[in-house]
Amino acid sequence: MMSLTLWSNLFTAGLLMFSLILISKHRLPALIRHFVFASLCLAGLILTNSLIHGDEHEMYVVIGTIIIKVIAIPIIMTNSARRVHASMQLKFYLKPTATYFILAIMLMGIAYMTQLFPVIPFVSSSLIIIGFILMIIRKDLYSQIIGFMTIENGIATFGILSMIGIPLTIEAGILLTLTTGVIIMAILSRQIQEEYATGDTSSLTELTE
Amino acid sequence: MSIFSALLLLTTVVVYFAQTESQIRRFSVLMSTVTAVSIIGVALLALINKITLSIGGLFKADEFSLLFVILISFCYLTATIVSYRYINVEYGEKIISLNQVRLYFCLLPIFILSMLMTVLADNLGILWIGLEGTTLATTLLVAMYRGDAAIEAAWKYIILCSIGISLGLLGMMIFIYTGVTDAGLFSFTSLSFSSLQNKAEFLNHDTIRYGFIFIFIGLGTKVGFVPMHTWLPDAHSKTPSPISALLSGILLNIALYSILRFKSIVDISLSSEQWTDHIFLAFGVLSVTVASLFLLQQRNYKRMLAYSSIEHMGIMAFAISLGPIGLVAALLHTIAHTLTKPLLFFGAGEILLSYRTTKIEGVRNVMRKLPITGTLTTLGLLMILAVPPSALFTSEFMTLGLGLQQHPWLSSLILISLSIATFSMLHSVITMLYGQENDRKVFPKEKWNITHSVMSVQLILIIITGLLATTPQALQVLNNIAKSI
Amino acid sequence: MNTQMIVFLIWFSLIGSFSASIIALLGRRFIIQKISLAILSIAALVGAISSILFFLSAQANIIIGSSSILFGSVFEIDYLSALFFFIVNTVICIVALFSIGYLPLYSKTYNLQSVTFLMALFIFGMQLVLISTTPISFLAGWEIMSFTSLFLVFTDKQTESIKAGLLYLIMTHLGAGAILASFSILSKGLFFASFDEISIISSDLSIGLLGVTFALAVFGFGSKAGLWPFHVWLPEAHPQAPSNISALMSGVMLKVALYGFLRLALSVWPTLPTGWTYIIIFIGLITAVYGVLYAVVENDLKKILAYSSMENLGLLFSMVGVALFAQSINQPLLFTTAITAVIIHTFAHALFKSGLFMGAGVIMSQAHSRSLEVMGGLAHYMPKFSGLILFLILTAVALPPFSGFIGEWIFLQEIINTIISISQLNQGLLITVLATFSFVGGLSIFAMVRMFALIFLAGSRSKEITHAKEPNFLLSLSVALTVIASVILGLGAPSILKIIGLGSLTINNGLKTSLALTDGNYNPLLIGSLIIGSIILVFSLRYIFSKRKFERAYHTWDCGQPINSQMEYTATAFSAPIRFFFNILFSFNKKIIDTRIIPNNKWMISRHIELNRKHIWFELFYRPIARLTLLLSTLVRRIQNGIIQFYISLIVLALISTVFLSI
Repeated sequence: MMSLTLWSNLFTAGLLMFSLILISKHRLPALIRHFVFASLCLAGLILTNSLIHGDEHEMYVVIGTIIIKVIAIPIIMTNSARRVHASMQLKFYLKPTATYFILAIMLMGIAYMTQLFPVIPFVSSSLIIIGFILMIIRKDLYSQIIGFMTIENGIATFGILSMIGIPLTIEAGILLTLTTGVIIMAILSRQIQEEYATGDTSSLTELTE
Repeated sequence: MSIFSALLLLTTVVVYFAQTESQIRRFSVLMSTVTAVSIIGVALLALINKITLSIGGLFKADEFSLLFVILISFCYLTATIVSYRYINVEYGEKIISLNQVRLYFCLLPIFILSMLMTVLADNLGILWIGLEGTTLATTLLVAMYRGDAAIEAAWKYIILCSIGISLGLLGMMIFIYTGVTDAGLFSFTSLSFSSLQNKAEFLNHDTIRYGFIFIFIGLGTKVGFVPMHTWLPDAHSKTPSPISALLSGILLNIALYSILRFKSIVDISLSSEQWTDHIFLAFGVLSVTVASLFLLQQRNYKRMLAYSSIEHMGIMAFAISLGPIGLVAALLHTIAHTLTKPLLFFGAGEILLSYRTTKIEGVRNVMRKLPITGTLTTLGLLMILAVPPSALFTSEFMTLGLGLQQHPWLSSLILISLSIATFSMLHSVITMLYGQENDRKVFPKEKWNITHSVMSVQLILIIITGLLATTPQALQVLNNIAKSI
Repeated sequence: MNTQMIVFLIWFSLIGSFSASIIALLGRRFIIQKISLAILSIAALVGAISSILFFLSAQANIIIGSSSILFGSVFEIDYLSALFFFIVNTVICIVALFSIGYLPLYSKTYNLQSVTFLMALFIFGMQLVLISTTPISFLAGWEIMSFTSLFLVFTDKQTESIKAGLLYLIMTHLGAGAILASFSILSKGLFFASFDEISIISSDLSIGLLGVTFALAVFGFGSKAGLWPFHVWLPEAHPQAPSNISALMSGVMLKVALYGFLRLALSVWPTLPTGWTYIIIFIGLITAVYGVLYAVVENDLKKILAYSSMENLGLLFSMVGVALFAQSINQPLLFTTAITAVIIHTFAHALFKSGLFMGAGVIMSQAHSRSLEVMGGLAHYMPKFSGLILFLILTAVALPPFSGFIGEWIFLQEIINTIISISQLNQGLLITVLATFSFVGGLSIFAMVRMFALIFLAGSRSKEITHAKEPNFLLSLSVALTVIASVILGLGAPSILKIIGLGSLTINNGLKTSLALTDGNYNPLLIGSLIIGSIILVFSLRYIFSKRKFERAYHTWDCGQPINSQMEYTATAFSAPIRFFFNILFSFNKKIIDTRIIPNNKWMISRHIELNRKHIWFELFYRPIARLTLLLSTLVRRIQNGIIQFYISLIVLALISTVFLSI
């Protein structure tokens, strides 16, 4: 029992750590790789938690998470990037150092908020913030998808750690919807790359009125 | 319910396998007529007989959702009929390919289905899936015309709405959490609106506040409250016009309606409406003001209509914040807006088909080139600007009358913003209608087409609603509906 | 029986004007539009008759009916609304008659179908305003009236019209908002209450809130009535509409705005503090002065008439102000007289202004221009018609025995009567009113004489004038009808007042007024016969004394140069002295432009003068507001900068700030 809790903590730490590292990654493959690690940790977290509470059906969620977040989406993204010969080098609005500085301040704020309002665990709110920061400071389409997925990871973590145990049908529905969403994002990102020959969102600034 | 979903899905499947463009269109119109008419029939029956349906604890049809079901079906019907012509013309001019036509008519029923799911949901999860489903179903429609920045609009649309909806999910999970831990509900029942409402007073106040803020901001993104509105004008202006009509006319209302469901829970829990009202008030006023300022220098008529939708959402939020009578006004406003906005988008679609541009400066002399469209659009515009006998006149009269009592300064701000919006919209449209082109071409006479018929029917409905809306009986009916939330 | 009759007639009138609008939609053929206009005219006539019957029936008010739509609003005609219903319908009747003859002249320029449709709806809206007793039906009618008239301004689709119309739109929309706000504050949120109920509800309103409703009403109704400083749209929009519509807008719509204000002042508000009535008086006086000054220097025929409308509305509002002032210092006689004067002058102005606008329509259809500079000599080609216009001009300059005189006269007379019995400050006020009235009166004579002289007298300045013909019977008839009505009113005012004086205006503080004039005040019949007598005397004397004189007809001595129209006094030159005195107000920018006839000869030059007038008030007051709004809009538009990352941060920001602000 003790070791399961330990594993759980370990996975939580891993999830947070890999997500933090995401911010500093300049190259697309590295970005995706670290996201895969983070998602693996999430799957592990779900697994250990379901073992602790003896929830059978969570196993399906684990498998689902692994298939979707660890295997399917990274492959789709890498493939689509390769096919259009997108640059693997990613651009930033803000340098990682500065970002980390801001992030540190925000995480302190979150820690303080968690003290006041303990409903949302520190990990999940941090993940949400990291996701947002990823989406805001980077200029490319992939980071936006990864950022979005990180936010989702944060919400999933909240679901797991708060132990509300959503029924399988609903959870499966939500997971499926999310996956569809990400697939559509991937399709769109490919279309954009074909149209504009770049994965950079700074070309997507025509609509200003 | 399941029959109707089956009908809608059947439409999708058949369209997917249909061979030619005209087959697709004919079948879609046929199916949409059958589906919409039967749904409206059933919903009206249920409304009149005051039947509250409940299906497996997942779905529930109270009067409020039945009203929305009727509105959705009506919009579906009109949009399909208009698409019948619109898509045909675009296909004929080789703007879209057969595959795109197929995609269009495949996604349309799915979009409608997810909206129906949202309004009929009695389960937080279903509601969420439905709402996200609407985003997913329409993203590819927004991106339909690949170039011309449509794809950019689609990207912004899906990213921003997905973020919003994720925040909404977080909020809902907070609701479920407090339902489980504080109110002692089982995790399954904690997902149900009815049981949450029943146990609302046990919910933790702080937790539920946090939850509501996440839901408000998250779903508010989908409603298009300022400052989360940024995706809205892009997406609404780049979509094929019938879809814009659906997006503006009904989807925004549905998102707002979903927030209302949570509001009622929070209000019961906090045993006062003040807290939620203030949030609605702030975002309502902000939306109206900012949208009207955006309208002032608008150069694109479809974006103009989109901003007008933001403005009207703001008015609704403002009305909601004014208590029970305000809610009645908001409901009336919703109905009227749902009837009117699609009409304008259909008109805009006709103009777009004829002029091939959405820039206001590229459109001149509509009154000579397209007199029928011009007249109908102008009448629709007057209706949306709350000129009597539009029902919007009544609802805005009630809203502002109430508002001036409770928040005189903010209401004055709204009044001024409304004037600015009226001025700007009429300014743009009048330049389009009467602006002189240098060369005095003689245009071929515009023929009456199916879009015009749809627009006229809508116009007549709007006027009838407007007249009926001012009867005490209608107010009573609206009041009953408002109470059923 | 009688009551039922009146109710029936009013319904007939309302349904008539509404069905006229429907009929207009039926087809594009002339005959259909003519039928529609005829119905409109008959409906208005019936409306006017019904209000006469109402006065004869001596009832305080008659409920016409209640509708289940508009939240069960009750429609009712009472003393005040009957007065305006009569005035409005009389004028509408004449103008509709005129339109039958007038609109076909412009069948190529205007879309007749839409003009007729909008006109009928416009009239319906005004009638609705006059008989409604609840804010919602009042505002519904008001909005119908505003938007139909807006589209009527757009009728000729010229850029200028569109600009003017949009200016009108923003003012009228803000005005409607202000009226709504005013009603809403007064009714304390019970927005289905009738005016009578509102007056009870609002009786315990704090003085501050009452002041707010007062300010809002002054803005709301004042912007519609063209009061300074909300007048900017009026001289732009009124002239742009077709002339029959201008006649309705100036002659009727402005009166509806006045009615709205009177309705609030007389049957909703309690007695207002004296200081507030000063505000109305001063706004009215400034409007009058402003209007008349611009009427003097303007060269555009219809703009002159529009400015003259401003002047008259200014006078009317200052009369209303004096009435309310009298009420607040408890001078019932002055109050009664001032209200009487308001009613009479309203009617007089409605008649002569609609007549003049119709006349302007006829003139323009012959001269094909609105500029005074190209007219002149029309009297040679259309002598009968110019005679009619002369009568209207005489009414407009308030000469006895025409109707324009009587209202102002009894008003001024009563002021002089009252002036000794009140405090010094108030004396000063009344003296100011007196002085301004005479100043405005003098200048208005100048403006009107100038207008008449430059159009009708001397030689013609353009070719079109020489082809001018007398207008057809219908057009002359309708203009003549306004003259006849005006003379009847001028001569028969005391008797008319005796008839309608049987009713009483509902007034909050119990001050009942009967509109009968004491006979000693003013006897128009006597004055009229005196004037006619003296004219006969002069002519017969002249006939007697100059009969023996030797006369030889010969053309004017011309120093050997043939006299042509270039030597005539021009419109611009005529108004030069006034322009010179008041240049600060007008801020004319005079430019002499030289153009060489032969490029290398600097001595042979053709010169012409350009006069650019800045609307000083527009520049000082409206331009900055417009600029500010535009600037704000430009700033706000930066939100939509197309960068998705920025949009995401906006969502985060909204989230965080909502959390911090609300928890």
